[in-house]
Amino acid sequence: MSVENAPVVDVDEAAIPVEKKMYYRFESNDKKEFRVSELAIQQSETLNRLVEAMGYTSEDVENKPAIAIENIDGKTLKLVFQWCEHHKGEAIPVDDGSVPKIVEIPEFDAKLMDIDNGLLFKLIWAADYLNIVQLLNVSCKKVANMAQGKTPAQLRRVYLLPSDEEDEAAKRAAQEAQDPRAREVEEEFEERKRQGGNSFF
Amino acid sequence: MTSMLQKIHSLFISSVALILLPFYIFWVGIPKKKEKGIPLRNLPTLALEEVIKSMSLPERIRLSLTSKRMERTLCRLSRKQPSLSFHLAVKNEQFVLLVFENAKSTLLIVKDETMENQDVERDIQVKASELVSWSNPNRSHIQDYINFSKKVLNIIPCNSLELVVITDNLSSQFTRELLAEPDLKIFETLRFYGKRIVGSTLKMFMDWCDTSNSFIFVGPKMPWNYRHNKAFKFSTIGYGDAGWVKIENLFSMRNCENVLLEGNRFSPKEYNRLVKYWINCEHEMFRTLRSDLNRIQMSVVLKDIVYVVNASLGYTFFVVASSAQRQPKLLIIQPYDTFLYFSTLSPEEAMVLGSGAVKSFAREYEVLNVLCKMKSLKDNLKLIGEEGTTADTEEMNAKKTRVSAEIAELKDGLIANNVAFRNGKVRVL
Repeated sequence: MSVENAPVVDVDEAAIPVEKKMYYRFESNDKKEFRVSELAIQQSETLNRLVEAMGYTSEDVENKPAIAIENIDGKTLKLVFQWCEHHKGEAIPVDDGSVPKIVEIPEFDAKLMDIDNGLLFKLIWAADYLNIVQLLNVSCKKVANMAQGKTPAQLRRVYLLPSDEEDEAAKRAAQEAQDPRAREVEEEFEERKRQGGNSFF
Repeated sequence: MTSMLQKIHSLFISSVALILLPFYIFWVGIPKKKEKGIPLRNLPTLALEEVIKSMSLPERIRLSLTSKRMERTLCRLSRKQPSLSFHLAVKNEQFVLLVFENAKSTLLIVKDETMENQDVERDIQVKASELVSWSNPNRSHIQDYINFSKKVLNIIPCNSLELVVITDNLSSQFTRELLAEPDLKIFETLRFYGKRIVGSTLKMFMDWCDTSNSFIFVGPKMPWNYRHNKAFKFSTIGYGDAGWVKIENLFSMRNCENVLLEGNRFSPKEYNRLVKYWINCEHEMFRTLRSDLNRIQMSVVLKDIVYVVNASLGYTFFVVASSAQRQPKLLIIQPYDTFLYFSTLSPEEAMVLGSGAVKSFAREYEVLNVLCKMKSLKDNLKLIGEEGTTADTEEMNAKKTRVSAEIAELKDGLIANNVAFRNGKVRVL
């Protein structure tokens, strides 16, 4: 995708100071390109370190290929950068140890995360990979809120958690699919353990 | 012909459906796609930890009840919270599990639904019947609740663990069964509330409690003339009704951290005995001791004791030094509000006051050393005086003059160092 056609994240022009700001170019794994301000990048520890290490000038940003983010798709990355642009300049929060952890979801974040659970799941993975502390906090808070007033049976459905029986069945299936020789070794090991031997050898 | 008719029929049905669709959407709305859940276990570890941290404690308990694997995950990801304390409370031979934050706000209550509701919010409660997968029909009620406590503590690691006993309606049989549980030893503090307790039941608890633990008796009236050789051996000791305590009981204290004695009947003379015992004791008795401030005359409490007074930061401190038989220590006696506080400090150690201010007593220690030297010289002078009555010689007089000069010199040195001698008291200004 060319730079001209790249989906640029909404930026409040009036809020941009007079001095020249640098916008970095990033590319998702489905070849979608984004321009993100230097200040917005500071919300992501991973990207901030990456651009610092690259030491790009304004010319480099334009002339060199966009920085590839291999494991995040365009749809998710768009949300991530929208969030970073909105929260640029804000301090990175520190855990105060309160129980339960106090996390407020601002209106902008609530709207941004009004998405299906599949995309929310990808957003959390992206926030974790890019080390965006506050995005991880709010997205995890949204997931935690899903537990409110639920019984264990309802929680299993909400969080797609297998029951003990399903876990057992999956374990058995995995064992059966194992290499026969490896299974033999494991059985021999279990047998020796039953006989009270400390070491396999 | 039939197929032709079928086609016309299906076409008619489709056309009617198309015409009615906008009306349906107008009245009912666009049918929502059923929302699929979110695979919690497939989240990155850090994110899963964040999700758990954001959940309330009952939600964490219910999440751990979804499967054994989830329970293990919660145990693995949970970290000890210094602000949390766990209480296993026993009332009417039934149990309640509670988790408090900073000993104030209640974050979790696990109890039998048959128990009365005690002004607690519904949403912080987990009913015992919800924990059915944690209970075992082969275990007793007591064993089940101790197991619940261990499970909750694995998921919500707390900093302090208390066994709280409401002593009314507590039978000896139940107490015996409860204390026979080896896992009950996880509790570091034993706290009692209630109105009455039978001496034999109290003895069972005293025998059971380790001396490294805390024994706090808040409510019940202690049996009159109660005696137990461990009564003053615990790390932290609290008696809300200490009328039964004799001053000599306190002489058995050894390395106690905090001692609280309310409602005691100690006279100023008895306090004087305690301070004198503390001075000459070869071991450390206590770190802090809080007692009632009734009919206290400090002049009697500190009679025949070398001490200095310091008034600073809104408090008055009476400072005493230990004898040379052990590591030098200071006893700070502080009457404040309705209490009399005793604190043991090293000379170089500073004391944190209730206001948060920090006070050092290094200067008082130096003055006390000089005062001790002065006292020893005065005793010496007295001896010379007594000897002088029998053999009055010039040498004796010279000795008296020399000792008196030495005392005066030490006193002048103290006065020059902002120490005032007024009405028999030595004040460090």
